[in-house]
Amino acid sequence: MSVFAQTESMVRSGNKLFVVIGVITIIFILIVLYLIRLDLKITKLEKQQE
Amino acid sequence: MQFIPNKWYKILATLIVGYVLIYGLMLDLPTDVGILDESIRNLFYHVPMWFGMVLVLLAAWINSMMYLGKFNPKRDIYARELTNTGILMGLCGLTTGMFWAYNTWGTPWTNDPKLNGVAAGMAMYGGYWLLQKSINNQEKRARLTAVYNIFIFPLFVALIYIMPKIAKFSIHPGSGEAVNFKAYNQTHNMQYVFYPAVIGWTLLFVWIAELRSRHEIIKQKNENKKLFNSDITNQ
Repeated sequence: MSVFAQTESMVRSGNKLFVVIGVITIIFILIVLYLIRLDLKITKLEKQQE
Repeated sequence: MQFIPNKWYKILATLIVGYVLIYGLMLDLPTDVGILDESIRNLFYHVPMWFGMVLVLLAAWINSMMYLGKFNPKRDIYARELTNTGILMGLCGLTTGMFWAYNTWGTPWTNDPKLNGVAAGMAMYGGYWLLQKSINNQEKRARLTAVYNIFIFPLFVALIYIMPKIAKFSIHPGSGEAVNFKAYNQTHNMQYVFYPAVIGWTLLFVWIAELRSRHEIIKQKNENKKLFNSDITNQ
């Protein structure tokens, strides 16, 4: 029961969960930007080849 | 941005996975999920890896059959790169599953029909990966991998889905007589994250597969050009 109460106070009360959400969002945005850059590079190579 | 082909599904993938990452953590959970507790949120991250993997491998399977129909080299590249991406998703699912299992069941691996099926299935796809790395001749590699892929995909589905389903005992949710996620979903809101999660993660990995395929097509064109040029100089 104590473990349950602990996690409840950690996540449900909302204090500082937003920090984790922020970190995950930043990582995800950077991964997507990386994918977009890769996509643009490959598109450029495709155009060069034609 | 206008230079990126098929950008709409890429934007869609980004938006859906962003929603899943953020809302999946903020969602109000059912209180009586027992031993899983907060880790039930892994339903939005671990499970879509497997669902998405099966969808991606299905697409690869269809491409393999289309290759054997008309021998279009592009179909071979799509099939191989989709399968490679599927293997990556499987590895993501396997490692996250082991981490989750370690923190739930106390051990990273149990003798469970679902886990054993996955081990055998991943070994078959490991064989696929070795096969495509071990043949240099483009056409030979394309034909052999296509035939092998057509064989293993139905076996893989049988091993990871049907066999665990008909097994008598399993502690993995969704197989045997173990509960599936609907039994945990007493707040009736988890499906609003779970189904988008499957679609979003699948699209995100399809994006990666598309990049890999286009890179491979550029590479093969270059190789063919080199072959052509060396033929001329030899004569």
